[in-house]
Amino acid sequence: MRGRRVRGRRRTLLVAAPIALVALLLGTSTGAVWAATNWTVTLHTASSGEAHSQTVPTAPTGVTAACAAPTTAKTIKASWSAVTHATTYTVYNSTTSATGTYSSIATGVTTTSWTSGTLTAGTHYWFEVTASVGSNWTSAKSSATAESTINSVTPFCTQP
Amino acid sequence: MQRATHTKRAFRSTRRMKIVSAVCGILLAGVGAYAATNWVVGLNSGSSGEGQSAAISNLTISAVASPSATNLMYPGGTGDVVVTISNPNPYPVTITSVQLPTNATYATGYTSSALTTTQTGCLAATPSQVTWNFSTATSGSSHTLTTPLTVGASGQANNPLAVTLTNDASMGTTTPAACANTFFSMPSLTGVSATGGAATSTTTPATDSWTS
Repeated sequence: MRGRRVRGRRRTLLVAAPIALVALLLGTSTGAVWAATNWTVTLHTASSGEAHSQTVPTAPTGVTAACAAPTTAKTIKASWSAVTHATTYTVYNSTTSATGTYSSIATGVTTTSWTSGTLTAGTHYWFEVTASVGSNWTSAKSSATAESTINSVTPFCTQP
Repeated sequence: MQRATHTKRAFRSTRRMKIVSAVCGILLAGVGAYAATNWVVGLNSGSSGEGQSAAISNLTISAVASPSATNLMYPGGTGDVVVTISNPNPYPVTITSVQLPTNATYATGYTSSALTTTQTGCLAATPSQVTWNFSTATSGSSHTLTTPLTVGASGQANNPLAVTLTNDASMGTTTPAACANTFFSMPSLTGVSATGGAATSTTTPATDSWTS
């Protein structure tokens, strides 16, 4: 009687243990595969990247000087072509020669032209322009100079 | 009679044990699966996942000169960042977002794309005012990639993966003139969010970005 009971239990264990083991292995291996393929982590890495900057802006081109209102005012309008990304322009003039010393007469100009105030009669004016991107990147002065002459009588301004 | 009763009992006992064993097995399997599948791990360089079944190795994100950036930075503007991402894991890893350092963490300028000689007057401490675009005053801000990037498994195609991050570098309006025509090593990311597992790897070189 007792022997039969023991044999019964042994049989039970022989059947149940593999079932449990298979179930356990299945679950664990499934979990391992899942873990290897679906985890979400936050990774801390020594990470970086490379970026490159442009050169300073090119000098404005196509600088011209025109008599803004020759019959009524002793003024000159300087114009130039836009420079890519330029945020402001600075206008310089010389009253001695095209190759003379230029002084800044207008800064922070945000358009591609500038009209002077009343200028001195009997004087030639030559203009150059620089372009700036941001506060510190400034182009060379435009190579082409533009000239106008202010007169004491009308026309108050003439082109040479 | 007695024998019949005993046989019935033994049969019931056997069935009970089978059921109990099977339930135990299933429960154990379930617990195992739960434990193995629900971990979120913060990793330091070279660490593994807290004794879990799969060891996780970090991705490496580095600067690279090729392909060269298409959009170049200028004061007040943005430019491309080119990176390579290496995955040492034996399965593909998909990156969905990046975490950025603060917007006061600046890049150092170099004279060439080799990033060996620093550019005088254009260092991180100058500062260069070159930062990651959309970074904030808080370190670790998370930014979702427009398209998830999947780096191939170790030794497989598209690993490392070269990626151009379009206009994800930013230059301040007061950046010194010394920083013109300069190459920058971008500040280290504070992290990336990634998912491991079977996925088609992104073809290298790729283009991606975060836009907010």
